[in-house]
Amino acid sequence: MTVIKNNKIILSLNSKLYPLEAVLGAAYVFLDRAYIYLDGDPEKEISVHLKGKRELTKKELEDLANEFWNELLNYSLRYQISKNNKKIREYIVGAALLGTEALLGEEASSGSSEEILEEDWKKDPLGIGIPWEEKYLKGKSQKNEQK
Amino acid sequence: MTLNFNKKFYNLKTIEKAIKAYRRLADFKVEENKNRIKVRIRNMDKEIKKILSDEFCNYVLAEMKKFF
Repeated sequence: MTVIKNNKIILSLNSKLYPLEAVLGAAYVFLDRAYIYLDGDPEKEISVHLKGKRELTKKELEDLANEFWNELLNYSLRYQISKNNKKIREYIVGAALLGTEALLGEEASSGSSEEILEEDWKKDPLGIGIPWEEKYLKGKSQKNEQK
Repeated sequence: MTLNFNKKFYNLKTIEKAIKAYRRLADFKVEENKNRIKVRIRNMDKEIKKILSDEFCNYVLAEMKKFF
């Protein structure tokens, strides 16, 4: 049901069809285009007051309301999908965290992490432990001596 | 001018935050009952008198996003 008066259109929504989260989501999208005020009962019927930021004709107000209905449908679907996928999302995050734990567990079983770290730095495959002078000035000093 | 906020959609903390942001533009007084939060706005700046209450409502709604 819609009511139009004083540059304002009032929409009445069945909250069983459109959850409050979806109504709020759609309302945020319209914050820059209209003044929005919510009233009613989130468990029964929600009233959404859309007021034009400038003087709007009846047609413009109806168009605004129609766009709001579409946005509402979009957000309802998104909310429903996120609700349906909640378990699988939790499972994926859980599996990712458990995977990291399992990896750490393997490292722990093959030797303590301190031992592994010690072995790694002793190898020094990138030559980080070599002093700068030894690494870069060796060649130059030899050239100077030859001269 | 008085604004009536339904407690099922708006909460007091958010309204107080909005009042803090708007305090230089008008005088605000908050009253609360079981279902509603009433905000009385007085001494509004003349230039923004027409839009102040509506902008205030939008500001409160935008702030409410953090609670959902």
